[in-house]
Amino acid sequence: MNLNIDTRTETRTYNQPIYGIRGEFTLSNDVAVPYFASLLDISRMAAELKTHEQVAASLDQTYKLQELYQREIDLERIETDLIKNYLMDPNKIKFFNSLTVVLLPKDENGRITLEFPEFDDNNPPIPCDGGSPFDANFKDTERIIFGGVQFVQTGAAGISRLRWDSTRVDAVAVDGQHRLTALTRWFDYHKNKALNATEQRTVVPVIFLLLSDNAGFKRGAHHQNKGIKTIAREIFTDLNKNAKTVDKATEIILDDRSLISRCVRELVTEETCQEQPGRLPLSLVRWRDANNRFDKDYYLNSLVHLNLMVEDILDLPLPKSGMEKAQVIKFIRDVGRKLGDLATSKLVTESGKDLESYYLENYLDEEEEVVAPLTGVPGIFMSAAVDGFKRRYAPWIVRLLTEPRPYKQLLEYARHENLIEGIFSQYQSQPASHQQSLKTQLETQFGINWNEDLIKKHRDAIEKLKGSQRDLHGEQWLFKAIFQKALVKLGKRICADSPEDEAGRVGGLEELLAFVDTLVERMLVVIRAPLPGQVKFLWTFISLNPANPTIQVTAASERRIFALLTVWYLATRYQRHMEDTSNEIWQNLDTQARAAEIVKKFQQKQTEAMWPIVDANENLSEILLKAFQNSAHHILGKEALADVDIPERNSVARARLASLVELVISPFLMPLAQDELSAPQEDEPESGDQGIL
Amino acid sequence: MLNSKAVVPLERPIGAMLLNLPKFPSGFSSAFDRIPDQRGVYAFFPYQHYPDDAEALFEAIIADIERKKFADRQTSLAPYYGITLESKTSMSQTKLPHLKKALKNDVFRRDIIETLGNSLLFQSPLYLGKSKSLRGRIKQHLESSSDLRERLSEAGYDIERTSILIIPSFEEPTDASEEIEGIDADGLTEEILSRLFHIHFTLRLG
Repeated sequence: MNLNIDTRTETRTYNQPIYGIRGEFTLSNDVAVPYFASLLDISRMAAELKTHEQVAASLDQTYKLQELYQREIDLERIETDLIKNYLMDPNKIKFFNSLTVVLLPKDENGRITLEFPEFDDNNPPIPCDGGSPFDANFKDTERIIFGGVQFVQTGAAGISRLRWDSTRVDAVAVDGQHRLTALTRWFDYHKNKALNATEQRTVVPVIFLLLSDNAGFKRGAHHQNKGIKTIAREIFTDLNKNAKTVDKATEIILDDRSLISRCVRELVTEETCQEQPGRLPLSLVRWRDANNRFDKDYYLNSLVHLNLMVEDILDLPLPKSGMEKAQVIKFIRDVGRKLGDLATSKLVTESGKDLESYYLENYLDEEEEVVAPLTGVPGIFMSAAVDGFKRRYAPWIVRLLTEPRPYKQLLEYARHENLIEGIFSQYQSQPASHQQSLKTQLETQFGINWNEDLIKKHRDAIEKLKGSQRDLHGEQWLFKAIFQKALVKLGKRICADSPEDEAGRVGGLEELLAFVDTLVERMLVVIRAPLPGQVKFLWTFISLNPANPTIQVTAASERRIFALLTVWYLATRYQRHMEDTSNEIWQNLDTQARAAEIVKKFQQKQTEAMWPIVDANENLSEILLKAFQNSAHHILGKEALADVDIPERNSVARARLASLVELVISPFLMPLAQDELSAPQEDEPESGDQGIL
Repeated sequence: MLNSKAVVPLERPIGAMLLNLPKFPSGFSSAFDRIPDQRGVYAFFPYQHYPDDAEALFEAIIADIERKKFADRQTSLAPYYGITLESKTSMSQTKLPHLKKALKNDVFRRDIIETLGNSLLFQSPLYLGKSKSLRGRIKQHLESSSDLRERLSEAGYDIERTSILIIPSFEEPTDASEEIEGIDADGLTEEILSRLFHIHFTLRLG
């Protein structure tokens, strides 16, 4: 007797045979998916089938964007919609359509492996112990063995038999995980695993995919080098494309039919725990909840916020009626201008078909009457549209969201601490149930303070980088969604909308990035930035409440932020332009006078023609002036606006705007000349007089 | 050349400019913000941009020569006749090979491209108008369902590939001078200009 063997590895735990019918799905010569269609009663389903969340957790498991949402089981929805309001409702006629299950190989730790390995003793006898006499019919028929799976098929109408060893194989639902969870929970918790005679008669159709070459699986050239796990994940993603997910907002991100959703995906890495040039690391993007904020915690950005920004930038409202030809043509031309070929302004497929011709040929009849609605970019043009986005928008958007100093600092910290690819992100990307089951492993590996050392420490450090309300000047605007939206809108104005020939005057992405860093250096983009020579904070009357420095999250506030950023940016460009022209009058003006001159110029119609200071019919400097005029009483410390006459309101407004402009055009921290150092200093107002409420 | 920049300011009159719509990368909507929101006169011209390649240039020139220069007009000549007047011109067949040959010459080709690039200075506009709000009116013309867009399209012109000359009024009118009772002053101005300068695609005259 050999007592040195590991009896755990020798254990075989085959389930009772399942009988059914073999089939095959093959629509081309080199791809074939064999499957086994059967019926399982509820107790067997609960015992033998698993959802993704029930598969053993692994930190090595990385996830694609779609999988992050598709794998999440919405327990609340299951309890309410499926169990209480359906399975347990006596008035409902209940039926579940079939589940699709994939048999996946796993190692001794329960983690899914790439392929089915070979084992000794993996061909149990037929008929099986404890099996029905019917099982003997399969004794002398062909057996297909792969890993811990025994599959027997007969020639008689495809009747077949399936068993697997549950210590080596997991049967994981790739379609119907919510139905499976509902039935399992109903059985376990609501029925205490005891069904009455009627309930016992219920059987549910289950289709098992047999992804082994031995069973006749042909994976095709495209999937030759992919393992079972990868193929199963693809099947999962494809089958769950339109599944209800946690909430509506995140559901939008998965919609392949949505141009915005497809474009947003081009801005982030394809998987967690990876970096890709020209993309934001998904590991640092908030995806778990439908929240556009990223000013707290470790996030660099938020998927919902990216979605909102891209929607705003592209500004491609769908036709209200897909049957209205004029509306549809307008939409098609708009898409062409923004995402199509620059020379022709047409959206064209690789084969040379343009969208407008396609619409006229396929959606209108011979009499040019509309016969079919067009309510978005048709599927065959989607790639061309996304390519257009990748060419014309994605590069500058990503740079604007990663290169300004505060973002760069966050990324540098994340890279230095291996947060993007290491345990931090591996852990954060696990489903909640897996995080729970990984805690023990992590405690064993890293000690009892693993959460503090590996997770919380970094979340706190990144939050500190972003600034907090307790800091002297408050948080950084660059991590506020409302600010970033305005910044990216300015980016669009400069990088996408400005004619090429104006690059010298108006600048481009490099100049814009340098400008943003200047704002950071000069401490202008912090919530409580002071405005020298003026009352209240810099951002009061723009996006902070006058009464207290809390942010006004409104469309008007966002517009004023955009207005100020644009005026600031163009002021710096205007100053440079004037210096380049060696205008003598300009050279002799001091900074304060130049600022006043810029404010005056930006209101002039000739300037509007040459500088992009107008947006949607509004002069952006006038938006700010109007805001300051309407707050003139606050600025002057008077009771009511009526106490300030119109000329004074205008004067106060111009002075405030000029002060703002001065902040960006003045030379910063110029070294004092020797004689200035020794000259007696004039009395300066105390800093405590500035920026008080 | 006049067609080389998106916005070409003129020194005089003050505020006058030429907008070359194809030069705006996201299309004409970003051009609107450059148009002053005041009264003035505006004129649409074909955007003159020709390729440098000799063959392509030849095709482009011939296409433009043969394109309609004004909308077809129909009328009755009582008591027996109806007349259609249509724009129709082409280069003679004998001249075509000469043109092809000449365009292969670098100097000639560059010269003709530059001349055509500035040809706005000596051609009649496709359309001319006067309005109290230049920005608003031009925006209307560029809408997808506008009459002018359709009219130009029928003649083979894409309104989004035009240059717009904009001349804002020097003086804003006082209330007293703004309206002349019973008379459409802007319409009257448009008619005078159209009759003087044979504007090709005037929508209505008088």
